[in-house]
Amino acid sequence: MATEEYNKAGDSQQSEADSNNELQTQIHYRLIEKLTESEQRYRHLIETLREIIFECDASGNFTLLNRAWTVTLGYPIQSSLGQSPEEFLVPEDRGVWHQAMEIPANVKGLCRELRFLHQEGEIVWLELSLACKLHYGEKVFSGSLIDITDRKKAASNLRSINIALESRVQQRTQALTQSNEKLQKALDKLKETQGQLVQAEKMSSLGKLVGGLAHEINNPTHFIHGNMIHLERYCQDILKVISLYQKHYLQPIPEIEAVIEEVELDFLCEDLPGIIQSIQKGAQHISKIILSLQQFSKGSNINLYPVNIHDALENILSILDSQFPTEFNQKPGKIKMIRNYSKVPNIQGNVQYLNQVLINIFSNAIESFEDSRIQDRPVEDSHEKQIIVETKSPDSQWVEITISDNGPGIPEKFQSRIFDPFFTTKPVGQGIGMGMAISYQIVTEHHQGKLTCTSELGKGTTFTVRLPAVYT
Amino acid sequence: MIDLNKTALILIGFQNDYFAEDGLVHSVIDDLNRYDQVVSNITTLIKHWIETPATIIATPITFTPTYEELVNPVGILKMVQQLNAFQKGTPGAETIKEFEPLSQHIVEVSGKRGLNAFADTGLDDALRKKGIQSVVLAGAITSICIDSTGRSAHERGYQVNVLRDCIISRTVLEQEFYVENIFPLYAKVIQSSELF
Repeated sequence: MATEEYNKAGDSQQSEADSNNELQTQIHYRLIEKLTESEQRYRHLIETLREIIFECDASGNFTLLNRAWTVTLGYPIQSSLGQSPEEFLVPEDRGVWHQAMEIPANVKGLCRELRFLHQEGEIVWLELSLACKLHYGEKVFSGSLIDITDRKKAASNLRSINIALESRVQQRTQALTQSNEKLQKALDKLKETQGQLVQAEKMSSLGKLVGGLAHEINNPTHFIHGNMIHLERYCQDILKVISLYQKHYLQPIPEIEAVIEEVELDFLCEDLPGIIQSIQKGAQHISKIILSLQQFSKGSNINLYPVNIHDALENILSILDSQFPTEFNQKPGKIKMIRNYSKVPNIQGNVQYLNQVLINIFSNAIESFEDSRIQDRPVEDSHEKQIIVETKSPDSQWVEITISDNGPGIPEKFQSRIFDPFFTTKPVGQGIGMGMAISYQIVTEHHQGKLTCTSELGKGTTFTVRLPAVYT
Repeated sequence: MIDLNKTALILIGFQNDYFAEDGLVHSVIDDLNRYDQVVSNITTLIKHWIETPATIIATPITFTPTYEELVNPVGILKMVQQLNAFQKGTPGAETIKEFEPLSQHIVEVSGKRGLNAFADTGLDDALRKKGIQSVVLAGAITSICIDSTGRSAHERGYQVNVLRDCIISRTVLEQEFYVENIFPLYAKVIQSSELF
């Protein structure tokens, strides 16, 4: 290196100026040092943040980015500076960025969720927090971008899990509902079976009791019944003798006259035939009861054969028509009979027994229209009284006969007792309460069928007889 | 347009203690990424200018082993003394190796002991003898020796130019601040490529 000798600045004024210059430089140096320290501290803070820190100029182009930009999205900072953030956004979210840029000056904390494209093409969700201020009259934007991809994925996963869970809950609920329905059906079936068993047991126990009782009552009743003919004849003979006495001995002795007066012989002679008749009627009623009781207590060994149920029904209806001629004609206020017959197979049964069942049901239906006298069974006089007889085959195994009336219905408290022996709603002396019990026995025991009753007050009652079909 | 007959390139602090990796005050400079570029840029400019009438002057800073030149030093000069940097006769005080092939074209003005290359040196005398009216500054460190020398040149009536791509600073902030805000107050800030 060429070395040349030059005079040093010897001027004292210049020397003082140089000295001042050095001092000022030292001052600047200190200022810069402090400024640098401060800048480095904040730069260090910014550079170590996981969140992206950015600044944009009035055009919306990046003027500052920290290291997190590269870490999060893969783009080098230098090549990103001067570009608009929207160039890194998925096209669908660019409008969101544009709107965000319309934020007024001096507003902080505008938040938006944006989808950025990673340098390798992957979508990264970033939460934008934006502030705007005026710098020398121009808008300057600054803010942060926080990676919320994991949060979004977690939320999405949670939504999927929730949907799957809801679906599973629905499936489980459906399965439970189905199980519940099955259980309910099983329970209903069990209750029905239990009811049938209870009824059967009741019938069986009662059958034995009633059988014994009927036998015991039958003999003395026979005595009464057998002697009644003689008693009646003897009474007639005695009355005949008394009449002759009165005719030929007009003036009996005072002692006889006193007794005649005492016993009121004229009234006695007049009343006695009536009493005898009444006793006869009573004895006949007892015999009828005994007959019912004996039938009830009979075993189930009856002769079964194919029966056309429509023929059986028509026979019964013709009998009833003659028995209740006024009820079955078509005059206003009388009972209208509606037949809804379907094509059904024969049933395996015994006509005699089935007739008894059908007569009982029809009689009850007919009588129910008269039973409005019972206080809690209202019926409107104005409505048309009708009985509907339906037949159908619900499946290949069964034939169903439904007999419905639109009478006053049976109170709920009585419905469970309909088929109980000795249960009747008729006044004393008018029914013994064995009709439906015997019918139940005939259907269930003798025919292996089902007899049910449903009723609603004010609407009517329906009896359903289900009997086994036969195809021979 | 610069008149190269009346222009001098002032090289400040291109010494190993600043620029060599094992330089004693090398660590002062954070903006290390620009080192190679700065050396490359100034070397290129010198290579061009040695073919021209322009004057090229180096103003190395050196101290005696006792640092008796420094009286109550503060700031970076204190650190220089503490680290025994720029001691005459040590490798750290020598001019960077990239200038060696060009050394015959560079005039050395010794005696710089502080921040201002004019203070206590014959630089002003040299410039005046050569009829220099315009100086072009390059070297280290932007906020210290470059600024101090620049202002001193300005005060002495020289037209001052600062080569923004041939000066090195401690930090990016300092570099940008001086280039953008301080130097324009008294100098023209230019790129070295504008000069050839």
